[in-house]
Order: sequence, then C-alpha cells, then structure tokens
Amino acid sequence: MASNRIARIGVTLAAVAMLPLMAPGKTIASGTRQDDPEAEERTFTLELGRKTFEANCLMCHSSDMVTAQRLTPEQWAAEVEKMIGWGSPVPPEEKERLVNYLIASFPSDGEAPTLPRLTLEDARAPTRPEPAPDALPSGDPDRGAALVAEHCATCHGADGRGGDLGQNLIARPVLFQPATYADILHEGRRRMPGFQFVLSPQEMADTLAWLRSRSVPE
Amino acid sequence: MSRDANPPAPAPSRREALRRGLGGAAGLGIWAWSGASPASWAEDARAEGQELIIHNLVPLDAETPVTALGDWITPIDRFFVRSHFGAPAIGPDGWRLSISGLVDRPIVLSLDDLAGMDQVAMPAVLQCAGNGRGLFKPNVPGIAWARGAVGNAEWSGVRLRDVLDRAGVRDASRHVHLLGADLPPHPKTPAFLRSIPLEKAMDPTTILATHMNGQPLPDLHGGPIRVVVPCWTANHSVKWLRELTLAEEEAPGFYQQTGYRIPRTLAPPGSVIEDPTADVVPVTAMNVKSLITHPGQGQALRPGRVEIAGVAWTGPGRVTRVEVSVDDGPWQEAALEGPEVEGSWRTWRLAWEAPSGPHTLRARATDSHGETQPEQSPWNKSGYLWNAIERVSVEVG
Ligand code: HEC
Ligand code: HEC
Repeated sequence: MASNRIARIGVTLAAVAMLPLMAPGKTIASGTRQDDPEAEERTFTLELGRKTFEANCLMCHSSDMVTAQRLTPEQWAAEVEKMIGWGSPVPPEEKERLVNYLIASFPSDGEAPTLPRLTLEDARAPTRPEPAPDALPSGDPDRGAALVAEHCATCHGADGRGGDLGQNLIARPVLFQPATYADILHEGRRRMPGFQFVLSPQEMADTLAWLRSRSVPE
Repeated sequence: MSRDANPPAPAPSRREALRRGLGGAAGLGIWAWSGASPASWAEDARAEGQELIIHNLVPLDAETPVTALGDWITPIDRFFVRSHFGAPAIGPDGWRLSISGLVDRPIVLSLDDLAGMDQVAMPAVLQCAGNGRGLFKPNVPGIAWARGAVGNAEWSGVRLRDVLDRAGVRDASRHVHLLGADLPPHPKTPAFLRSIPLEKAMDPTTILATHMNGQPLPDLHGGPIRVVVPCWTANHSVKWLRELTLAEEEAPGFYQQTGYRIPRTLAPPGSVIEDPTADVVPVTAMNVKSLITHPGQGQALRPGRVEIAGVAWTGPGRVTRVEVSVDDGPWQEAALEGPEVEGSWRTWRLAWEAPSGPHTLRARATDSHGETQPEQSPWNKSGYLWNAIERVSVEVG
C-alpha cells in the first residue's frame, strides 16, 4: 500500500518534471526543421538552458515552484538574480541561456499550469520519514565528522548548512529516509558526484549519523 | 490591530480540560457556542473529497479547493499548507523555546513547561498574505494561490503574553522577533525571521499554539508549536517556533524588511503603520473578504431551490453583512450563521430559486469598519491582500 502511494507520487513528480519539455505554445521542439539551422540552433540553446535549470534550480525546491510561474522576461531575469543571490550556483556564463529558457518556456501569456491534486497524506510522502533498517549499518557521528569535513564540506559547508555548490543538509527529511540517503551517496545527484567508490556503506552511515546529531536541539 | 480594537481575552482553562478533548470540553475557551464541537464539524467535512491543490510539492505549498471550505471549522487535513523552507526534520523530542533579548531573565521553556501554564483555546482564521495572488493581472511571481490559502481552525495553547511575562519584558522593548526551526536551504538564503509589535504580542488573543482542532499540532502546520496572531495575515503566525527575542526595532532581513510590504494606500483598516512617512508599509491586518463555497465554479444544478453558501471574514472588527447578487441583479442580504468570534469567520447562506440557464453568482462582505469588498483589488507587485468580489458561473438545467 505504502509503495503504491509512493509510486503514484512518483508519477506525479515525473509529470511535473516533464513540464519544461512540454510547455505549450512556445515549445522547444515546434518549428524545428531539418533545413533550418537557425531554429536548430535555438532548440539547442534552449536545451542547454534546460540543463542549467535542472542542475541549479532543483536542490532547494521542486520544479513546480518554477514551472507553475508565468512571468515576463524582466520578472524571470529578476527571479534568477534573486535565486543566485540566495545560493543557486548558476555558472555566470550559463545565466543568459537559463533566463532565455525560462522566458521561452513559462511566458506571462502562456497557458495556465494544471496543478496536481493530492491528499495531504500523499503530498507529504516525499518528506515523510521512511525507516529502512537494512539500508545502512548504524553510524558513528564522531567518525562522520571527519568524513564530512573531508568529502562533503567543500560543497555543503563545514557545518553542513550549505556552501559553494550544495544546499543545507541539517534537519532535512532525507536524513530520516536512509534508503534515499544511501542512494544519493552512491549515485550522486545532478551536480553532486556519487561516492560509491570513495566511501564504504559504513562511512556513508557515519556521515548520516553526524548530520543527524547536528539536527537535534542541543 | 489598532489599540482600541482588542477582542476580549480568552478565559483560561485547565490543561485537564484540553486533555479530555474538545468534544467534552464545554466552556474551554472564550468562545462558547451552542451545538457541535470543532471535531464534529471537521467530521462532516471529511465526508467530501480530500484532495488539496498542490502548488509546490517540496517544500509543500498546498491550497484547499474553495468548495471544501464551507464548514465553520476547517479539518486539519484540508487546511492549506504554506512552507517557506519546509518542516524541519527534528521531531518534538527535546524541543526548546528560548526567550531572550530585552528581558529581565532570559529563559528556555520545554513543551512540558508550556503545557503546565494556563491553556486557552480559540478559533481563528489563518490566511496567507498572498491568497489570491494568482488572480492578479498582470501576473506576479510567487505561489499563485487562487482562493483556498485560508482556513478557520481552533487553536489552543498558551498566551504569548504569559510567556513573555515569565521572562519580564524590559521597558525599551517595542517588537518581538519570531524565529522558527526551519533552516534556510543555504547560508545566503535569508532566514524566515519575522516580528510583531509588542502591543500585538501582548494582545491576549495572540497565542503560542500546540494544538489544532484538539489534536497535537501536526508538523506540516508548524508543530509542535507555532504562533497564532488572529486578524493578521498568516505570515506573522510563525511555524516551528524556537526563538522569541525582544528588541527595540523590527526584525532585520528580507522577510520583514522587503517581503510582506505593500504601498501605503492599500493598508487596510486596523493595520499597524510603523513609519508613517514610508511609501510601503508592512502587511498586517487582513481585509474583508468572502468566498462562495457552494455552488462551485461551473457546477451543473437542477432548477429550483439552491442554497448559495460561503464564508466571510475580516481583520480586526467583525463581519456585519454578506450580500449576494445573481446575474448582476440587486444585492440580497444572506443570513450570517455560526459562532461570532473576532478573528474567526462566519458561515453564510441564501436560498435561491434557480431558473434554467447559465447564471453568475457574486458575493460581497462588509465589516464593522464599513469596508466592503471592492470590484477590483488594487494590484501590488507581490500580490498581497486580494479581496475583489468574484464571480461563480453555474449552469442550471
Ligand atoms: C539555495 C536554494 C535555492 C536554489 C538553488 C533555488 N531557489 Fe528558488 N527559491 C528558494 C526559496 C527558499 C524560495 C521560496 C521562498 C519562500 O517561499 O518564501 C524560492 C522560490 C522561488 C520562486 C518563487 C518566487 C519567489 O521568489 O519566491 C521561483 C520562481 C524560483 N525560486 C526560481 C528558482 C530558479 C529559476 C532557480 C535556479 C536558478 C532557483 N529558484 C534555485 C531557494 C532556492
Ligand atoms: C561537488 C559538490 C558536492 C559534494 C562534494 C557533495 N555534495 Fe551532496 N549535493 C551536492 C549538490 C549540488 C546537491 C543537490 C543536488 C540536486 O538535487 O540538484 C547535493 C545533495 C545532497 C543530498 C540531498 C539533500 C536533500 O535534502 O535531498 C545529500 C543527502 C547530500 N548531498 C549529501 C552529501 C554528503 C554526505 C556528501 C559527502 C560525502 C556530499 N553530499 C558531497 C553537491 C555535493
């Protein structure tokens, strides 16, 4: 039953993630013809913009926060500036194509988005604690401290609260979803590299133990 | 809230009464009403569809469909959810609330300490300042709420005033800074730090809620503890409360100094205006507003008697009148129903003999300041305080 529910959320999430590709009216694919190099160039640049979006805009909030907006070029440019100011690591040379992608995909005169409907129970699935006793061995926060300093701090900050490339990890729901946590550490995610050849399961568990120990009230 | 518009103090009630649950807790709070308990109100609504409109999944921003808002008390799992950074994954164990700054004795209270203090309960509307943002044209950035970022729940816990008294507020204090445990996602992201003027903090209806509709406050709604500031937009009702700091000045930072501000001319009656010379003022008091919760937009109806129903609320003061107009005809007065408590809402209804054909229904509320919902809500760049009269089209046949 629980897995059914997760599967359903998965579908909703996937549908939301598809949105940027399917944005109506100004679609990325429409108008592209084999013999039209300008249109091809444009499609290519928009696709690059979409990649910049995925790599830099989905670590603090899901894509809906962005794809449900319908904004003017000025408003989109201002949003991107605001988010860079708030910690989004958009490389300066990719900023323009990101803004152009957002303008083209979610214009102020675009069709209104269709919002998903979920029960509160289902809507909280992505953040609900999911105990998984077998996902990782039990960890040691003291060993974890050294491992985080060595492998994670460059991106997530020495205190785990966010740094040059990564977001805050303290008091995050993923700390109580050990299977997901282990998966992210193994495989990496977008701009985060996988650590499967760097850290043992025990070491991954130690990093988790440290992050959890920093999350409870002192 | 203006100085002279303080609602009556909620009467204290003992923790025992709370434990017995609201059903049996007659005389629990200020707001005795005859009839059912909030729990049974909530139960009725549960029969209907359960889904929320998801604006953003993580962190969760979810809106109640307007047709699910017809009950006096909004059930917990239908109540809108607004998160800036998301619920902190900590759990209630070892929760501490610190009170510091311009106080005689900085103190730290546990949830047990709070449970041992005088308990109060009261119904109050919480409405996101941006409810209706999605209806403004031209579009403005931010969660594009339509109508349902609002709900009326029964909140219980302790008076903020009692907590502040334990620490001893110093004379120089003017503002109470409110900070929750939800960490910003990045050191460059401003914390959701808000403040309310001391006068509002000392208002006996401003509470620290640990319960909602008689249940322990769920984490998505700010549990284990949140502020509830009745009559003001819900951005003051900080969730996951961890720190109270008394200070001479308003809170610094984006969410107090830049966000939640509107051009002065928009400020509704009862607002606290901090700096009378500034062009923008903080959004504080809610403005008068109503929703048609039945029938729904586009609903197909049978000819004959149809009940047009809804809810209406305002900021400080009371709703004095709700009127309905069919097909832009004359305004007819609807019956206001349910308990009347300042800061809460009224339900209303009007019987209509519906003839066949397409029809348009409109409703407008008026409050004790003499304010009536306008035909058009003045546009502002952040999309706050939408309260224009709306149209619901139905098909009778
Ligand atoms: C470091 C964290 C972080 C990253 C990375 C991030 N955002 Fe945000 N963003 C936020 C937060 C926090 C909010 C919501 C604040 C709130 O609800 O009060 C937000 C809100 C938004 C909104 C809603 C409007 C608003 O200003 O509140 C848009 C649009 C948006 N982000 C776009 C983007 C885009 C585009 C990117 C990639 C360039 C991005 N975000 C990356 C933190 C981030
Ligand atoms: C090269 C930079 C980098 C390094 C090194 C790095 N991360 Fe990350 N990490 C990221 C980025 C970027 C994301 C966000 C990915 C996304 O969702 O777009 C992330 C996401 C995460 C998440 C998911 C957070 C959530 O709330 O969903 C976890 C957990 C995490 N990292 C843990 C770690 C740990 C533990 C280490 C050290 C072993 C580490 N990371 C090292 C860049 C990094």
